[in-house]
Amino acid sequence: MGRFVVRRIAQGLLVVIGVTIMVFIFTRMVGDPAKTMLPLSASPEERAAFRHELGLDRPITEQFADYIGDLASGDFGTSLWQRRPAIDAVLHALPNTFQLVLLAIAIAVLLGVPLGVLAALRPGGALDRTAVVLSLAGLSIPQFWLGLLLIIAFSVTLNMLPTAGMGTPAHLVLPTLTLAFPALGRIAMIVRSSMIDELNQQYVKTAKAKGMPRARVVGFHALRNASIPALTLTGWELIRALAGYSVVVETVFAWPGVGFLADQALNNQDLILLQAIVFVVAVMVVVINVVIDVLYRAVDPRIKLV
Amino acid sequence: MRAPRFVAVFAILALLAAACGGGGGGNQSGAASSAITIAIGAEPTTLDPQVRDDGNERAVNDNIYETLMARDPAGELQPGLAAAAPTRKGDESWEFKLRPDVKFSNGEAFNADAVVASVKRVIDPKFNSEQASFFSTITGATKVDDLTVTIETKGPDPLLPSRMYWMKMVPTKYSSEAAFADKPAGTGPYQLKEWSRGNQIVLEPNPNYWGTKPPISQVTYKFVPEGGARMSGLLAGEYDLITNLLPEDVERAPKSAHLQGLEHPMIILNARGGITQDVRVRQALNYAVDKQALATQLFGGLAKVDTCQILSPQMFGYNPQLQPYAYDPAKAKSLLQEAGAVGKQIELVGQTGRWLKDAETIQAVANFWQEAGLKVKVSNYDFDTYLKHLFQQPNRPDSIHVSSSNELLDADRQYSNYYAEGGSGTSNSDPELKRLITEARTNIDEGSRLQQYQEAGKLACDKAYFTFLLNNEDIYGMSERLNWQPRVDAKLLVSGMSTAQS
Repeated sequence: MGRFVVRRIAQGLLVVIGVTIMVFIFTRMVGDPAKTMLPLSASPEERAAFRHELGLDRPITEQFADYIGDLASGDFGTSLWQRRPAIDAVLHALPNTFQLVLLAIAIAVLLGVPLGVLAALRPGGALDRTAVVLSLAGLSIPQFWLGLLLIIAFSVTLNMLPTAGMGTPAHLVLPTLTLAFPALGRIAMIVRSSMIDELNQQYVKTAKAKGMPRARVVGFHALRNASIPALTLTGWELIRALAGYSVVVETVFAWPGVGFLADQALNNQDLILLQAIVFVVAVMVVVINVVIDVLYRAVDPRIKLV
Repeated sequence: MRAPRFVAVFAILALLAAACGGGGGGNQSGAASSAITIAIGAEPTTLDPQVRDDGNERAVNDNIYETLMARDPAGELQPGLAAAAPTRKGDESWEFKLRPDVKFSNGEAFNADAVVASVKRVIDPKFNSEQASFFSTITGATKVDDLTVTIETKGPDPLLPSRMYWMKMVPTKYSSEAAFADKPAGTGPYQLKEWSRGNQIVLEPNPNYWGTKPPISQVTYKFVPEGGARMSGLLAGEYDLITNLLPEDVERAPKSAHLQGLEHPMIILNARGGITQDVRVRQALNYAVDKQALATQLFGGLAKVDTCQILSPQMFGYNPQLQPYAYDPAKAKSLLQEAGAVGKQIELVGQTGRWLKDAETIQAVANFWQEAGLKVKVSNYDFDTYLKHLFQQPNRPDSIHVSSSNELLDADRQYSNYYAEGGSGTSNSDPELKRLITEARTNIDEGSRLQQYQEAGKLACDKAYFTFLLNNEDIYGMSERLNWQPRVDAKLLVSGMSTAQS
C-alpha cells in the first residue's frame, strides 16, 4: 500500500510539472498583460516600458529558466494584477472554494445515493421516473442560468437568501445548491444503473432466499458492490467542481474562491497568477485521485493496487 | 429506509436551510439610516491609489484620496487641494499654491513635500504604475516653500492642470511602507474602516477632513461581477447604488439616474488602403447608418447621436459647429456606386463584452452597411486578439469598432491616439491632421489651442476618417432612499450622496 501511494504521488508530480509547463507556454504565446492592464490610450512606448519592467520582453528561454528556478525554491512570483505574491492570493482563495465544493459534493452524495438506490428498487416506478427527470435536468441546465434563476426566486422574489457574496451560512445555500445539482443527478443515475445490475445478480436472490433482511441485502451487500463506479464518479465530480464548475458558479455568486480568481486573472492576462492557480489546482487533482484509488481498496479488498 | 422516511428527511433539511437563510436576506442597510451599500464590478486588488488603472479601485479611493485640481459635477476644472488654479512659470513649469492646514488621515501634513513625493513616486519607471501614461510629460516637482510647489514638464504642456486632477496625493513617509496598499491614508472626506478581502470594504467619515462633513455616515462596497446578480441585489434591497445598469432594466429599478457620459462608441475606418481608402466610401459608411435608431433601439433612448466627433461638449476641443452625417441611405448607395465599391467586401473587427451593447452595435452597423450595398464580414475576437488588431501598425483593418473614453476631458489623448498619424489606433496618414494635433499638444495659448482641435475635428469629419456613432449615457440603478446626481466624469463621490433620512 505504501509503495503504491508513493508511486502514485511520483506520477502525479510528473503530471503537475507537465501541466505547469504547458500553462507557461500557452500564456506567453497568447497573452500580453501590457495590452489589457494599461488604459486604451497608452502609447506603444508606454506599453513597451511596462512590459520591460515586468521582464516580459526577455527571451522566452531566459524567462523559462527563471521560472523553473523560482519554482524549485517555492517562489511563485508576484501577481501582475494583484501586486502581491501569487501564492498568497491562491492560498487565500482556496479554502473558500473547498468549503463550497466539499459541501456541494457531500450533498450530492448524501442525496444522490439514496435517490439512486430507491429508484433502482422499483425500476419504472414513480420515484424512478422522477429521479431520471431530475438527473436529466441536472445534466442539461447550464449552471450560470440555474444560479441566476435561484437568485431571482429565493433572493429577489421571496427575499429569503442573500444574492451574492460570502459571510453568513445563508450565503452558502444558493451557490452550494447550484454546484450540487448536476453532480446529484449524475451520481443518482450511476448508482441507479449499478444497483439495478447488482440486484439482478444471483447472490442477491440467494441472500433473500436465506432470509436475510432486505435492508441488509440492499444497503450492505449490493450497494457495496455497486459503489465502485459511484466512487469513481464522485472523485470525478469533485475534480470537475474544483477545477471547472467553480469558475462559473463563483462568478455568478461573487464567491471569492479559486474559480473566481482564475476568471479575473484571465481577464487581466495575469500570467503569473494563472501559473500559480494551475499549479495548486493540479496538485489538488492529483491528491484527490490518489485518495480515491486508496478508497477502492477499502471498498473492495479484491482490488490489487498496482 | 422506506421512501416516505427519506422524503421526510429531505423536507426537514430544506426547511432548515430556509430557516437559516431567513435572517440572511433582505435590507441590510436599513438599520443605520444614513449608511449605504454600493455594488461594484470587482474587488480592488490594492488600495494604493497610484499603482493601477482600475475603475473599481477609483470607486473606493476617490473618496479617500484627493488631487490638486478637481472637477465640479458638470466637469469644470477647479482647485481641489490647490488653493487656486496654477500659474505658468516659463514654458516648462507650473506653480501651485497649496491649501493650508490639511492633514492625511494618519497625521502626516499635506504640504509641498507631499506633492513632490507623490509626483516622483507615480512617474518613477521602477514603480511601473499603470497610470504613467497620463503623466508622460511630467519630469519632476520642486518644493518652493511649505505651501508652494512647481511641477516641471518636458516641453510646454497645456494639459498639466487636467493631469493634476487625475494624480492622487499620497503621504510622504507612509507611502513607502508595505502596509500602504492595504491601509490607505488620504486627505479626503472618508477613511478606511474595514477591508475584509473577498467580502467587502467599509468606509467611514474622516474626522480630520478639512472640508464639510459628508451626510453619509458609512459606505460599504460589495464586489459583484455578474450584472444579473447586481440587479437582483438592487431589487432585493441589498444595494443602494449599482453602475452600468442596462437600458432595458431602467424600468424595473426602484430608482435610476442617467447622464451623458464620456463613452463614445465609434468605428475607425482605414484611410490608408483597401476599400475604405476612397473618401466617398467612408462618407457612404456614415450616411448608411441610422444613428438615431441605434440610440432608440439599442440604448432605450439613453444615448445621443455624436456630432461628427468623439468628444463630449464638456471636453476641451469640442467643436460646436459640427453636425452629424444625416441618415441618407440613398446618398450612401450613390456614393458607393460613384466609387465603384458596390458589392465589394468590407471587414468589421470587434469584440464582445467589454462595452455596453458592443456586439449589438457592430451587428446593427454591419446590417446598415449591407443595405447600402456592401458585403460585410464581421470578425468578432476575444479582447486580447482584438487589441492586437486595434494597435497593429501600419496595416490597418478596414474598419474596427472601439469605444473611446477620455478621463482627462481634453481632446489631446483621444486625438493623439486615434486621429493623428503615429497614434496606436490611427488609421489615416493625413499630414494636416497630424500637424494640428501635434502643435496643439504643446500650445499654451488656450484660445489658439482650442481652435486647432476644432479644426482637427472638422477635418476628420469632412474626410470621414471614422463612422461616428453615439455618446452613451452612464446609467445607474439606485434604491428609493438614495439621493444623488451623477457626475460627467462618472466618479462615485459619496460626499455628494445622501439618503432620505440624512
